[in-house]
Amino acid sequence: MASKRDYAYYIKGNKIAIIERGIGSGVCSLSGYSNQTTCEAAGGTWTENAISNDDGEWMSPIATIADGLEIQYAYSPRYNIQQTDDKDTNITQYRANGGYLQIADNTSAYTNYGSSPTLVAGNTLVLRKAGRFDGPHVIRALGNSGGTNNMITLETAYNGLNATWTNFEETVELYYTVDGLNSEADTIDLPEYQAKAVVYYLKAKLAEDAGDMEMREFFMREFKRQLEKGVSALKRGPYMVQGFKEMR
Amino acid sequence: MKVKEIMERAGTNQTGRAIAYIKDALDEMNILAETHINKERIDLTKDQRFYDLPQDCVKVLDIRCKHHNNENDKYRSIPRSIYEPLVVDEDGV
Repeated sequence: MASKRDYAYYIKGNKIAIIERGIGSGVCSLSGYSNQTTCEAAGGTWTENAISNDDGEWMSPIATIADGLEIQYAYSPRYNIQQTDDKDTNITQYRANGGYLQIADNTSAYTNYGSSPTLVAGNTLVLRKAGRFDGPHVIRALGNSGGTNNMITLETAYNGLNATWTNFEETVELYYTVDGLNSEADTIDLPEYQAKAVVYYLKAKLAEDAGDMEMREFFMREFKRQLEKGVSALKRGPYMVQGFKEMR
Repeated sequence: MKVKEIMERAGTNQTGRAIAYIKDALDEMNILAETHINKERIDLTKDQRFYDLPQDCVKVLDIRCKHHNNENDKYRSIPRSIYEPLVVDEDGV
């Protein structure tokens, strides 16, 4: 059975700091005993993972835990994954090259991204389960790294080690049938009602550019009102209040 | 709704400027009332305190950790610390 742990976080710049409360190996109800066997032999009660007197401080994570941190976040739908089954899962490693992010299939399979799937410079792809690199990227070039066209250089700026490839923590999902937002024919991935809020935002910004601040404020208010109406229309019935465990 | 239709409703024919503002609008919408959400799992590493936020994150909704206040491998929301702990970080970030 895994040990119970106590975490907290704080934000520093563009990073999230995870801290853990130091937990001792256990404490004895009798003084002078530091392990379970001698404690129980003396008639004491051993409590596993109790916070002992000399630790209990908040510090960096005490143990490595696979997939230990889960971040739920909102993202901007600047792209539209048109076919979710058009997905490649062979990317294994990443590195920096000339200030750009490079990803590659460096396993023995050496997937050829120039033929199957056919990726072309300038196209948009989306990475999922890629940690900090989650999201849309534009392809800069394909290259060779042990195989043929098994390496993809992206337009994404990244400063890291050039000589060393780093493994992704999970099996990365690369979606390649993606429509980036770059032409008049593209569709916004929003319900019709919320898309109308975008119209108000666009009008507000055009008014701002024209120096008409009164009009800008009016359309910006309409943008927020439209957005709020769209969100509140999805809620029905009374709110149920549930106590937050940490506050008891 | 297509970009062209939004441009027609707003009365503009400048595609580049319109698309730039539409992208701004999508960011603003997700900060005010999230329309698209995702979750990402990252390995917690011993003695490493700082972790990168996903590149496309515009608003953090929840931070959860495995084993937080449970022994059943469940993910639970963790509280935000107001102060930085006295024990400094070893990875030097």
